[in-house]
This record gives sequence, structure tokens and C-alpha cells, in this order.
Amino acid sequence: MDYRFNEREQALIKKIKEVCEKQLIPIQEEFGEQDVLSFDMVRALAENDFYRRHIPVAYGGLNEADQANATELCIIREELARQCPLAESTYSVTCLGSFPILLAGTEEQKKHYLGKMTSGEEVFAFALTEPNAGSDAVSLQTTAKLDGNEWVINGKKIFISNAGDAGVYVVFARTSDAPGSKGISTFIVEDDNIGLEVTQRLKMIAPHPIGEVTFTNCRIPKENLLGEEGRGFKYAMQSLDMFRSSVGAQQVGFAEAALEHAAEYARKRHAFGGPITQFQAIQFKLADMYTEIQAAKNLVYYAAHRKDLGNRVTKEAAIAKLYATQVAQRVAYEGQQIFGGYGMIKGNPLELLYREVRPAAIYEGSTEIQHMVIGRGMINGSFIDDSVEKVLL
Amino acid sequence: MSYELNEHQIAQRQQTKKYISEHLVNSVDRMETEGVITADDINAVKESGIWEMVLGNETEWISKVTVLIELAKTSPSFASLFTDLIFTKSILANKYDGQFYSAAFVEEEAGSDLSVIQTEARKIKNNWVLTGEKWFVANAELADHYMVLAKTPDNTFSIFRVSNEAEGIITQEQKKMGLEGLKLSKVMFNQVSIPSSSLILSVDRSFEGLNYANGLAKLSISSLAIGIAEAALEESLVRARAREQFGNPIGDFQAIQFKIADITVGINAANTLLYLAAQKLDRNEEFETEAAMAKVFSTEIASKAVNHAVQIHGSHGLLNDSTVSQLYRSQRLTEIFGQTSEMQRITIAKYVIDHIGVNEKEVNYGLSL
Ligand SMILES: Cc1cc2nc3c(=O)[nH]c(=O)nc-3n(C[C@H](O)[C@H](O)[C@H](O)COP(=O)(O)OP(=O)(O)OC[C@H]3O[C@@H](n4cnc5c(N)ncnc54)[C@H](O)[C@@H]3O)c2cc1C
Ligand SMILES: Cc1cc2nc3c(=O)[nH]c(=O)nc-3n(C[C@H](O)[C@H](O)[C@H](O)COP(=O)(O)OP(=O)(O)OC[C@H]3O[C@@H](n4cnc5c(N)ncnc54)[C@H](O)[C@@H]3O)c2cc1C
Repeated sequence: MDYRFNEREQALIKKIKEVCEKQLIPIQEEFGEQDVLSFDMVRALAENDFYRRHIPVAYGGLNEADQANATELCIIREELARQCPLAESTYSVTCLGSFPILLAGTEEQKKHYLGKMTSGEEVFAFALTEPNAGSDAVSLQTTAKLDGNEWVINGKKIFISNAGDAGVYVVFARTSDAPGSKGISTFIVEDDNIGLEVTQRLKMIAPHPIGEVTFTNCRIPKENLLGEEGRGFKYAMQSLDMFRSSVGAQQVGFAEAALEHAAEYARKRHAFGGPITQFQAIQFKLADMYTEIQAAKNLVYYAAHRKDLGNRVTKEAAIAKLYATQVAQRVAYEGQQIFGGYGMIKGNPLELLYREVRPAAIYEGSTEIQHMVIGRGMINGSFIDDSVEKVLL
Repeated sequence: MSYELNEHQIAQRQQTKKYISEHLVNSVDRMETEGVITADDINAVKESGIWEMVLGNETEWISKVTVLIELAKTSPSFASLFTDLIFTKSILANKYDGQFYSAAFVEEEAGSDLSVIQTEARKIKNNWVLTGEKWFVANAELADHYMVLAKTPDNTFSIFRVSNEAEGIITQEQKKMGLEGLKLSKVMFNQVSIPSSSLILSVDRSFEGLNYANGLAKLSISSLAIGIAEAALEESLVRARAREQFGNPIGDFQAIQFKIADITVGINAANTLLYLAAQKLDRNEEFETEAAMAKVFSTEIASKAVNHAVQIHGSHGLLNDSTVSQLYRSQRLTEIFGQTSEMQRITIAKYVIDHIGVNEKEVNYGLSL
């Protein structure tokens, strides 16, 4: 097994660093902490081909293989999170929001929407969660009923990233009374549709564009059904499967940033006659932070690599996301502790990182849900597979 | 959930609850969300008798920590004001005059290690002249006086009382995370001239002369942390009962139940340590090690409690103005002020290594309840 990034991947890392320094970090610094999207950031990401990388050439992208590249997605999220968190969320929310279109869209839908996505013309949102359907997304209540040539959508979505800023919402709604996930379908709803209203913008613990979207007799053309009726939940799960390891990558990026800042500070900060790195209390913190980041990073790229080899990665991605979110939280916590009082002051990178790492243990499958997935898979035998060999090839 | 209180102590807790339900609850949003605490709030707490209970000499520490836990459960920011008050009052000893003092000890380059402070006091005729810059000074806006730690010529360190109206003082807020109502400021003293009677206490480089006052601050922060943990538990219970997913209240899932169990165990254990320290103090026994144990344990338990509380609430717990997300941020500070967790461990280890098993009488150390 080759642990090194290949040349293409190394070039990507180098390019991200350059773009961050030249363009993205200045935009973030000017923008500050706001709970709306930075369209300057969207443009800069598009200009530098970020949104294009996983999209097939036929739809305006740069991806020559016919499959999205999980390793690249992880590299981009890790590096952006480490260097420029605003760019990371601006990148990833639109990628996730448009992914169901890539998965299930018609030629026409893909050409139209992915073209706008790659060029940065349109920003996307993924609208699954509802007030009464969070972890238990299958129990969602939003309905879509066919009325002549139109679907009529009614219901409420909450905690939707990019709500209020997105041009296109990919919405999951119930189209029949079929039990469980079978009655759920996916729709493309544009923001100027009458009946779609952003009823609340929400302020979270860390800056993020997010809100509540209400659909009241929202009529959309019949063709805006995405993929097959009744398969909507599958598309949601397939999208999240693709992105799960990359949430881990984002968390690794945050953790790396926290460690870098904390280590640099610890070398400079003096107490009791020397730098605080003279104390084992500080050395051991740094050692644990470093070790855990390495472990998390390996889990993340292992999951991504397996995905790219064509495996199912339910187990690996759940493990990577579970562990990386825990590590990021611990690392940010210890990093903040190393900064002492300064770590609590606005403007200190750890003050922000401490808040920024927290949400990922809740979204895209909370820690408890990952535990359930891993535990269940282990026990019913579905995780004891022979595909290990594939990876070792 | 507390140590067995006697009737008098129970009555004092009742009095606190009465003040909370009649006054403090109405101000919580303003204090915790807008971050505004005013002189009127101070007057109200004085009138209620709670101020006197926490700061007066008549009340036992068992009662004081009980009162502080109750306050913290409702408004952590408001409860945290008392840390500085308790600390400064102890240093003032019989010079305490009931006014609001704010401790200005820490500097940009001197926190855990105060021996490297740069602020200087020089004697000029009958006055002391103070020059230097203090960081992280709590409640500068509310204080009548600063209590300033400075180097004095004979290579000692002294603590001075400085009126906030003295000439040459500039303050600048240092915005921070959590405890919104507790403001931190940079305070610059530029040739501030104060009368010679302003010198309150001198200590040597070991700062052992501050151990007692520091110990009291630790009890106060331990109470703050326990109050935060109890509030987190209460919020979690409400959510765990009301929120349904997968057809059940989430409180039916062991993942949630175990978190609640762990918070409950932690609060009880922390309380035991805190009340042990308070009891030793009430008996005029050495309590500094117990105070350090109570502080580090309660604040770290509170860290677990607020983290679990956010998790139990799901995304609702991440809403900036939700109670649990406020608790999540406020808790974090408890592991820093009143000396960091690392400094508490140093204090505990030093005591244990120097004493336990060395002197036979102390073999039972820690089981003295
Ligand atoms: C920053 C951010 C961005 C988001 N962006 C989006 C987005 O773009 N689109 C979107 O659709 N959603 C989004 N979400 C919503 C997120 O995916 C949901 O909040 C998440 O699925 C959890 O749901 P909930 O908040 O309702 O928590 P709940 O489901 O109510 O969970 C509460 C607690 O109970 C636990 N729990 C639930 N069921 C069980 C069980 N069976 N066993 C054990 N424990 C259980 C959970 O783990 C959690 O700890 C976002 C959230 C955040 C914070
Ligand atoms: C909410 C709040 C209120 C405050 N109120 C006041 C106030 O009213 N007045 C005031 O003067 N100050 C106040 N402070 C400042 C506070 O007392 C200091 O922040 C604290 O003592 C730590 O000092 P520092 O920030 O300089 O950290 P440092 O001392 O620089 O410590 C940095 C890191 O090194 C560790 N470290 C230091 N020495 C050792 C060692 N020997 N062994 C192992 N690890 C070590 C620390 O634990 C920490 O993790 C307040 C701070 C906060 C957050």
C-alpha cells in the first residue's frame, strides 16, 4: 500500500496553497465572521477550478474518469480547512448540494446545473433535515404532489446550509405513502420559485450561512424531479457516503491548523524561566495532538482510497468521520489550553477553531449515528468482508 | 444534589432561590446573550442579602459555595463576578470596605508565572507611582477600585489599591468567548500616582502569600463550574424527554442515557470535592490542595457535561443563543482563570509527593470527610 500522494495529488496540494495565499485568505480576512455566503469566495473558487475538479468533462468539469474522486475531495477539504475555513465551507456545501444532480440528473439537468455550478454562477443547497427529522431523516414530512404538469411542495426544512444564498435547492420530499424511505423523492427547486421562502436565518456557534426554508404550495415543473420517483433517499445516502470521509478530512484540516498554531505559540511563550515546551504537560499534549492527527488522517485517506478503488465504504467512512471529529475536538481543546487566557480572546485562531470543530460531530450523521452504523455492521457480519485484498493490490 | 446541609444552610439556599426567581431570572438573557451587567444588578444583589452572604464574614463556606452554585446555574456570568470579589476581599482582609474591586495581576507576558511582571511601583515622596499594563482584568467597568500587583524597589511584589478614577488609567475591552457578562480588559497604568496608604500587601517571589486568596477563588470557580454542569444536565433532561427520533424519545437510547449518567456522576463527585474543601476551610484547616482538586475536577466535569449537552440537543444545541451553546462556551473559561488546570495539577502533585506517606499522620489524606 502506497501512503504517498501521487504526483497529481501533490500538485493539487501545492496549487491549493498558492491560491489560498494569493486569493482566498485575503478574501476571508476581509470578510471576517459572517453568517452569509461570500460571493467573492464563490467566484475565486470557481475561477481557480475548484468546483470543476470532480465534474466530468462533458458537463464543464475537469474529471476525465467517470467517477468522482474521493481522495481529491478530501485533499481539497483538508487543505482549505487548514488554511482558509471560509473557502472550505463555500466549497463543500455547494459540492454536496449539487452532488445528487451528478448522481441522478438527466443529461439536460447535468449540463444546465453542473455548468452553472462549475462556473460559480449558482450556489447549491442540500435540503434534507426537518424540525422533526434530524438523525431520523427517513421520517421527513415535506410532501410533493403531482398536479398536472407541476409538483406542489409543502413543508419545512431546517439547518440548511446556504439557505438564503443558494440559487438551487435540492429538496427531499415525500411523494407517496410508501413506508420508510421508499416514498421519498428528490427535486430541484430554484430560489425564485414562488412558495419557497427562507423563513429564518440561523446563527450557529461558528460562522456559517444556514437557515430554515419553508415551502408553501411551491410549484415546480414536472421535469424537476431528480432521478426516479421513490429513490430520493438513496440519492441522499449515496451523496452523504461520498462526502462522509471528506467531513473527516475537513476535521483533520482544522486539527492541523490548531496544532500548528499551538506548537508555534508554545515555542515562543515563556513561563518559569523558559518556553512552556520545557514542561511535560505541554510536550505530551503536543505529542498526543500530533499522534491523533496522524491516525485520523490515515483513516480518512484509507476510506477515500478504498472508495476510489470502487469499494463500498460505509464502514471505513463512518470510522473516519467518527474518529476525525473526536480528534479535532480534542486537539482544538488542548490547543486552546496551551494558549491560556489568550486562547479565549476574539481574534485568537484557537478561539474560533474551538467553536468551528464542534458542529461536525452532529451533522451528516452524528457521532452516535456513526457508532450505530459501525456497531451494527460489525455485529451482523456485513463489515467482515474480503475486500481488504483489493486495497492491498 | 449536595452535601447534607443543616437547616440554616438550607434556609440560605432558599433565600438565594428566592432572589433568583424574583430578580436574576429576569436578567439572564441580558447578561448571558447581550453581555450586559450593570451597577443596578450589583445593587439588587446587595439588597437581596446575597452579596453579604457570599462576601460577609458571618457565612460559612459551605453556604457560600451553595449560593454560588445556585447563581451559576441561572447565570454563569453573574456568578463569575464573585470570583474576583472573593479573591480581592480576602487580600484586603480588614481593609475591605464593601466596594467592588477588580484584580489586575496578569500581564501580556506574565500569567501563570507572575514573577516576571513588568508593572512597577516607585515611591515618590509620599506617593506610589504605578506604571505598567495589565491584561484580562475582569469587571473593569463595574469596579470602584483596581487591585494591582506591581514590582516594588526592594525586589518584592506588592498589591496596591487604585481608584478607577485615578488619573492615567486607560482601559480597553478584550472581547472573548463565553461568560458574556464578564468583561475582560486591558488596563494601562501610566504614571498613576496613589497615596502611600494604598499599599495593601507585600509578598515574595514564591507568591505563597496569595495561596489563601487563590484557594478561595478556586472554590468560587469550582462552584461556577458545578452550576454550569447542573444547568447543562437540566437542559439535557428536558431535551432527552421531549425530543423524539426513530419513534422514541431520544432519552430511551443508551447513547443518551449514558451521557446523562456520566454527567450526574460527575456533578456528585465534584460536589463532594468542593464541599470537602469548603468544610476544611470552615474548620480553619489547610484547604488549598482540596481547593485545587475541586477546581480541576469540577471544571473538567463541566467540560464533559456541556459537551454532552450540546450533543444531546443536536443542531439546536449549536444555535448561538441557545442556553447549551452559551454554557458550552462559558465553561471553557473555567479551566483557565483562577489558574489553569495544569497549575492545579502542579499544586496537587507537589503536596501529595511531599507529604503523603512521608508523614504518617497524613496517610489518610483525602478521606477526611
Ligand atoms: C453547521 C450545520 C450545517 C448543516 N447543514 C445541513 C444541510 O446543508 N442540509 C441538511 O439537510 N441538514 C443540515 N444540517 C442538519 C444536520 O444534518 C442535523 O442537525 C443532524 O442530522 C442531526 O439532527 P438533529 O439536529 O435533529 O438532532 P437529533 O436527531 O434530534 O439528535 C439529538 C441527539 O440524539 C442522538 N440520537 C438520535 N437518534 C439516536 C439513536 N437512535 N440512538 C442514539 N442516539 C440518537 C443524536 O446523535 C444527537 O446526539 C446541518 C447542521 C449543522 C450544525
Ligand atoms: C475569564 C477570565 C477571567 C480572568 N480574570 C482575571 C482577573 O480578574 N485578573 C487577572 O489578573 N487575570 C485574570 N485572568 C487571567 C488569568 O488569570 C490567566 O489567563 C491565567 O492565569 C493563565 O495565564 P496565561 O493566560 O498567561 O497563560 P500562561 O501562563 O502563558 O500559560 C500557557 C499554558 O502553559 C501552561 N503552563 C504554564 N506554566 C506551566 C507549568 N509550570 N507547567 C505546565 N504547564 C504550564 C498553562 O497551563 C497554559 O496551558 C482571567 C482570565 C480569564 C480567562
